[in-house]
Amino acid sequence: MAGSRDPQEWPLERERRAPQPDPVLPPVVDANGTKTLSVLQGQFRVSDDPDAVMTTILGSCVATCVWDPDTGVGGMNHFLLPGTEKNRSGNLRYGVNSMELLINALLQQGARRENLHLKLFGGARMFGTEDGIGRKNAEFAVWYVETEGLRLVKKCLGGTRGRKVRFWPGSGHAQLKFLQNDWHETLSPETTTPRRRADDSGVVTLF
Amino acid sequence: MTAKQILAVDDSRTMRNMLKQTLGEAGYEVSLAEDGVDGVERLRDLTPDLVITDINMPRMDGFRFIEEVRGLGRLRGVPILVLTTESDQALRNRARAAGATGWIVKPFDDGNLISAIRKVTVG
Repeated sequence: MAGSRDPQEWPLERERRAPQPDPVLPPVVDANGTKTLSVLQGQFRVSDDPDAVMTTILGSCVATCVWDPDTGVGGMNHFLLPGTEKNRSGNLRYGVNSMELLINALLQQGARRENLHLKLFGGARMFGTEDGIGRKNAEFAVWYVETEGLRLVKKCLGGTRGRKVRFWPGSGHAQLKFLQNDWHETLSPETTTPRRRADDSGVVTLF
Repeated sequence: MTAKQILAVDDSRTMRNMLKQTLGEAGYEVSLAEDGVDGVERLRDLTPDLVITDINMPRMDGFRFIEEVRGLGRLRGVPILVLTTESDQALRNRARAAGATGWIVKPFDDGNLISAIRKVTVG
């Protein structure tokens, strides 16, 4: 279990670690009935609720927004390739896994692979982070989409500013806002209390 | 001694490429299939020493595929490892009942995967 962390530490320190799923935050419902679903680093969410909007804040991480216009099912992930160039294939696996989890969850909710549309955001070069982390995430995302033959309809990757992304999974509509350079110090505290979940990735069970 | 043959079934081209590279580097001869239907097709003229399969795939999923493999008398004894993003116990039980030999949760670790393969392909 991770102990409590200084909110100031987030996200620059966290982004250097291997992604660990944080608890999924409950939807926040506003007066108009819009349900806001936060997607934290290492997580993904899928919804077919027409009132749902997914939101995330990105530095060097990348978010993939995917939807099937025919069935109105969509989802978002938020990933970071951990580590350094030394363990390149191991790092790629985390990205591949994040993509697979998202796409499998969409297919299980009725989306069809051939209908999937994608938008990619993030991968900035953030002040205080290792050079190339954002670029590596962005390059991975584009490479994955091309390798899998998926339909990329929009990408906004790179640069030096953080991004806030809102994504409506039913329609595929996305809204992007660039953040000021001090954005990571002004985050609301509820997104800064991560807890780790048991993770059995890589574990082998022989029957 | 000839290299052991592995059939790897996964609908993701990225995963297929990774498996081919990792297993190839470990000295295995790797055949690939992109879903259960394709896997069954490949097994018409292939008798691998091991089958690795994903679960969530179009046309024919991993559970059905395992049943199909076990239905081929020739391949009744071949070890089958499931390699999947899923970690749910009910799904593991289902795979075990269908005839799977083991279950590995993605993202896989090269060392763990190879040692599991060695364990189930001894002899």
